[in-house]
Amino acid sequence: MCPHIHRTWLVMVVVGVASSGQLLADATFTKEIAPLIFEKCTSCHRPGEAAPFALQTYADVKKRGDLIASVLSERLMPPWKADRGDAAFRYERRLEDDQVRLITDWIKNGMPEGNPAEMPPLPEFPVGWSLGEPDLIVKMKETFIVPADGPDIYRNFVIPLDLDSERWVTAIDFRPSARSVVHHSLFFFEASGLARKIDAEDQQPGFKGGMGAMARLRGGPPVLTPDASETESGRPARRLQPGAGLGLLGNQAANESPKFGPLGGWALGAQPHPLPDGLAFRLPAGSDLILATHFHPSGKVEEEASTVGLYFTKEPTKRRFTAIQLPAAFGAFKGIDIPAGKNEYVIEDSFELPVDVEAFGVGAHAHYLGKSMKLTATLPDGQTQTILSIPDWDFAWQEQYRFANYLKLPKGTRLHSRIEYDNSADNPRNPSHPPARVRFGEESTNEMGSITLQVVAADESQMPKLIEGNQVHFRQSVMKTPLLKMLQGGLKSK
Amino acid sequence: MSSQIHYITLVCFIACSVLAAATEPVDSRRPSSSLENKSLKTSSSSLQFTDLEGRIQTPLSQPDQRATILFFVLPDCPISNAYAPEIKRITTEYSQRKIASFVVYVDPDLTTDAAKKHAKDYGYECPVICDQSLRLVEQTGVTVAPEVAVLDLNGKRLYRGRIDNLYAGLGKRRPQATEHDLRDTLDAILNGKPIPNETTRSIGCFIAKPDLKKTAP
Repeated sequence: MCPHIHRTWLVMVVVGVASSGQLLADATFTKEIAPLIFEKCTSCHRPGEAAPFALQTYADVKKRGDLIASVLSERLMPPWKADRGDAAFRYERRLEDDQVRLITDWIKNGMPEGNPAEMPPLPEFPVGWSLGEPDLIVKMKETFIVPADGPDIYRNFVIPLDLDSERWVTAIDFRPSARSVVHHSLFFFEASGLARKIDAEDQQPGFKGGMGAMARLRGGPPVLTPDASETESGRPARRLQPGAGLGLLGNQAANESPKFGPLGGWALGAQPHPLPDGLAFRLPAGSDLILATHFHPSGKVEEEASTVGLYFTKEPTKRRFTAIQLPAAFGAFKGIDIPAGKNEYVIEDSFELPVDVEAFGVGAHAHYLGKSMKLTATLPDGQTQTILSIPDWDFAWQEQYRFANYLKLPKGTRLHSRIEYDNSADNPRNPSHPPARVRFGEESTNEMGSITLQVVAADESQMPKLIEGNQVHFRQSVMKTPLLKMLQGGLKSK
Repeated sequence: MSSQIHYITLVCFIACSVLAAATEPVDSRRPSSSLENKSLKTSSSSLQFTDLEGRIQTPLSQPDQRATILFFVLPDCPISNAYAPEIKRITTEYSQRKIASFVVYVDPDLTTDAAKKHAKDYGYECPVICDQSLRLVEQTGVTVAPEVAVLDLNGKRLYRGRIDNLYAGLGKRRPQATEHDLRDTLDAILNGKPIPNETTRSIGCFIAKPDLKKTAP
């Protein structure tokens, strides 16, 4: 009885994907399937990692055949939300369409094992710190208890680093103790002692997360303060505090040496990678490390005490880098006001590059109403490239994408971002039921949105001009704010 | 429980399930429902399991209860695990209203020790059964975990499907459930009202096919 049921369901799943492809009837696990599984799945699906079960053997995979067919066909796994754009990404986890078809056809065909002698060896996955012994290892002072259920939790933890001099951070490796509940963590430094003060306000480890907390650390509401990339004066001795895309950019307006800034982040499925080409985040002396961690309860009480390994460069970074955020300030000046039930609400922004740049990373951010994201570049010759396209935005998978090579964008290139929201009841992630009017804000029941391109100036001496152009764009964004909407909505949501 | 009661229950079950096979509505999404009905007809309510506490359980025959819930779970399915607190709440609330609950592990490879550890970690308080040969899966027609079957006191299936709509799809979790199908079903049974939907589609991890199990009967 049951085999029939399963087969019927399976056929429905597979036919949806492979209707036009021919069945690769002779594909076997050991020859065609295992290499793909090992390359794209096993780095997370192995004991001790975050994935819920191992995919290391024929038996492991055969047992999960139906589930694998479903999640591949729906493009849920491997987790990689970006479409293939014009610039290739590094560390890409996605499977090609023909690879998906190969695996689903093999499942449909009864999952033949093939010749065991042809079985490839399991890849050697790093044991311990995958980038080698870190220069500094720190751990959360106290254990944070994650309840069995309830809504997701955002919590910031403060870890003293006790550094007596400035450092340059090229990579951070993050090791949660409760892998089933830690979804992602963003890293920041705070060097004035403010984070410790906020931490001491309640008895619990850390303090409430979310963007409101970030605004406090930055020293003001984000709507009213410009972000780092726009306020750099470009003095030769100074180095930019880079934007980490998803992370905030930090308020450096008043300070020669900013006291708060981003250091990158970690999300489920990600391996630690150093910044390319000797680039590094500046970490001031006396900084505390802040982990802004997102938990989702797993059904059972868990205890989290994260361990963090920091990797420093020997020299300060040679090339400064900055972030071009479109729209600026996560859309704070766009007058976001999404009617209840509206299934297609769009914000857009454009920026013309004042100098030749080389982009090395891109990331997007929105909350639960986010539907699709796109960043394009129209080159001076009129040709348009897709830099990032996320057709089915998922708040849960906020990847920081790195380009395989520097993406060269000449002066005069027009960057254009488009972010679409769905505030209808058809969006299952809609935090309001029934849908409610949503305006700009930092809570997850508000919305914001931007795409952030991480760039260096092709010629380092042009950096001040790039920063100035970014500043001008920021000021123009403020000037164009639908003021009435902002007063009615944006500020009220604080 | 005396053997006499067992005998009466058995007779009653056979009568009821024949009736059920004749009257149960066809689930349009499940072309195989006639096969399931056949299985119900030919099965016996005396299916016995030893729960993790070592007690003999007959989940298909609960004559002193108003209904029985079978919660089918897989210990390495995150969706299944995420439901543990709601499963606990439902078993506790409805046990006071004469509705029995069983948590049923449906992983043929799961050892008793691993099941015990998981049940303890997730705090299941109702009897926990390991259905290694997937007999209850075949009886009830569930295909994924978590999924539930609600049976009447004679083992006739009244409801099969999701606990609630917390998941809109694999990887698509709502902030909170907005439809509570299992609770609505139980309330309807207790109030003598028609069950709103006799089957719903549950989102979860597929239960391994019986032909893969190591301990085929």
